[in-house]
Amino acid sequence: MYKPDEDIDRLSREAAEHYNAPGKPAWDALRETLNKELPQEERKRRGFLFFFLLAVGVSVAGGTIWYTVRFDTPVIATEKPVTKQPGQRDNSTAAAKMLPVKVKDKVLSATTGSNNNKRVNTQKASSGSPVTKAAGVAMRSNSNEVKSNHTISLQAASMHRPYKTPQPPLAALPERLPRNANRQEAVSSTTKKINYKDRNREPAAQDNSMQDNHTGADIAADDIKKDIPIRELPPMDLEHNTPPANTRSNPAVQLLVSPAPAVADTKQVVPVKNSGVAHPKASNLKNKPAHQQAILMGLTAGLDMSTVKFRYGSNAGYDIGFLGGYQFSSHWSAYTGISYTKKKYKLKGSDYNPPRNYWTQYVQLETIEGYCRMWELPLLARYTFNPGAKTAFFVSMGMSSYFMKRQVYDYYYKTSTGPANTIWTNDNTFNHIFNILDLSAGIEKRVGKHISWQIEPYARIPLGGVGFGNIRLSSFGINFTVQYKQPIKR
Amino acid sequence: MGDEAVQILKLVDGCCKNDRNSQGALYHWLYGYAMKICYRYTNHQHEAEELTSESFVKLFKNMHLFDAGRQLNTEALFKAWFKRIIINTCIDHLRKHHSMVNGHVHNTDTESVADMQETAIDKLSYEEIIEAIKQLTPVYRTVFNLFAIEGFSHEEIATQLHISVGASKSNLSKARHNLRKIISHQTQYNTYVQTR
Repeated sequence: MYKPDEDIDRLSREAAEHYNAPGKPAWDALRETLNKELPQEERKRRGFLFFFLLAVGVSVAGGTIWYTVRFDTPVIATEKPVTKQPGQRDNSTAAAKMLPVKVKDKVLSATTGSNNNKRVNTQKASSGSPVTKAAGVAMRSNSNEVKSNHTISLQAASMHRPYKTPQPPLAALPERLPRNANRQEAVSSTTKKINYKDRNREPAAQDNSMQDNHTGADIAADDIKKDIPIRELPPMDLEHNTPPANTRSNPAVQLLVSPAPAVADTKQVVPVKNSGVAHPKASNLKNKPAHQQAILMGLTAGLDMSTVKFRYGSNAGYDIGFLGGYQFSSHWSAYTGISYTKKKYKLKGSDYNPPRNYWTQYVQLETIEGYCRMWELPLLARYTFNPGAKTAFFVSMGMSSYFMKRQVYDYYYKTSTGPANTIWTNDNTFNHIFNILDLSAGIEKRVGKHISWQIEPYARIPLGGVGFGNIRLSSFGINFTVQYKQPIKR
Repeated sequence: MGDEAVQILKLVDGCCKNDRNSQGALYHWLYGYAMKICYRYTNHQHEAEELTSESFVKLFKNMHLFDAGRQLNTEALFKAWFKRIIINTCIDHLRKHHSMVNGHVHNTDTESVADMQETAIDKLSYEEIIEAIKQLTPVYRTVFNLFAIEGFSHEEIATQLHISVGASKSNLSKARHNLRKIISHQTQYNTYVQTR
């Protein structure tokens, strides 16, 4: 019996439909052919350009801030709280009010003017009358170069001394200093004897200086000149015509010893225009917390161990990048930056979730080994437990963004003809903005005034799938960072 | 339009832009489908693989000609279009490498086929049937594939192969005859192996 033709045709169709042809995909060979037959245009570098511009922008901004901070011009203190007590006169130099009008103007200009003016006025004053000489001494106190915060504070305080010490009228001056005494002699003896090296031998002169408006500034100025360690002053004895043991009872010494408490004793604090005198360091004292703010820059590199659901281990990847940050306070700081990362990992086929109808869904995918290269942008908040210590500990938490640039996978799967593997490369960019929880803790060790190095173990936990395969890629590793810290001076 | 259609159209769009990743994905998706067809038209596996690759190159070169239109079954439409490309590639290959000329048909099997057992072909597996088809001469195999499996008419076959309709019918008849003979031998061999 012959089989009808229709049966042969039907069976042949069924066989053609259901049989499995041998052979394995050879995409690499076909890709080579396509590169010849259908060459691709040169890959656009827009992504690279974006990150390049971003890096340049960050560098320029950081440099600008650094330059501004580093070469900051002194801020003119326009207001300064001083004590105003009942019956106290204005601060416009009581000494100047005691001078003739011509000299008074010079004194005022000397206490408020520029260095050039000071020099001229000093010369004029030194060649004038005794009173003029006294004014000249006062002017010299302002012509001194200000070299330290403390001296400037003293200088500033000395100029406001009349506010703190009610000045008795000239008639009430001690008899030791007669009203009609030679002012030049008094001033010269004051400027000479207020030298604390000799003050035990010449206490009367110091007492005079305390009651003389002209010499208040002179005392401080001469002390500043000689760089006397003010806080090491020995107590003086009243019985032997020396300053009292409790120096706080002596306004002049109080000013010299500790200018700050004078303000603390204020009953009424009023802002007074400071005649335009620059007090950059004094303002620093006023804004002391500003020293805690700083700009942070660092280079980081480290090892990366990635895994997908902890099923397989893999070789270590790496990351290298730039970090920038801002320290808000001694404990808190914020960090960001950019790093180039290569992650290596191996995953199970069931953990790989490409788009629907992708060819891997038509084969029995066993495992995938691969790696990816990406740009990583963290945004972290950091808390330092013991700021200022040479070795500090910190914890960080934040979110990171992945910008995957290349994925290379080696698929291991089974076909009807046996196991097979295919290498696949994807150069498309997959962006995952703030999709990674970034946790880290570490140790920071200072190795210089501004330089420190850090060791920072980290964990990056995915909040969603990443890459073409939508995989849950967790990363653990350790980063080594060299950091430069530039305090912000205000 | 379903998700599958969207995915296919995305791949097609990527291939039109000469995107290697889309081409790679499409290649892996349709490799088995193409290989099945090419394997039936050739004697050797490596020849089938070459035809498959050549078909894909043609596909990627002419991808812009594919128009899904408003068809509901985009996958079937695309596969049918690709199948036509594969068959044309196989026929071109046969023209180049085999002595099939217009209107002339090799007829090497002239002996009559012996009686076959009615159930002989039913006992063969799909792979054995395909192997039997592959043992036909290139011309018989091509005509049989086109008519019995692909579903072309004799007029279409005649047009594609540049032969007459009568030659197509004659080649098909002889192809079936030879196929029965090959299957009979195969069945007898299988029966012999099983009885031992």
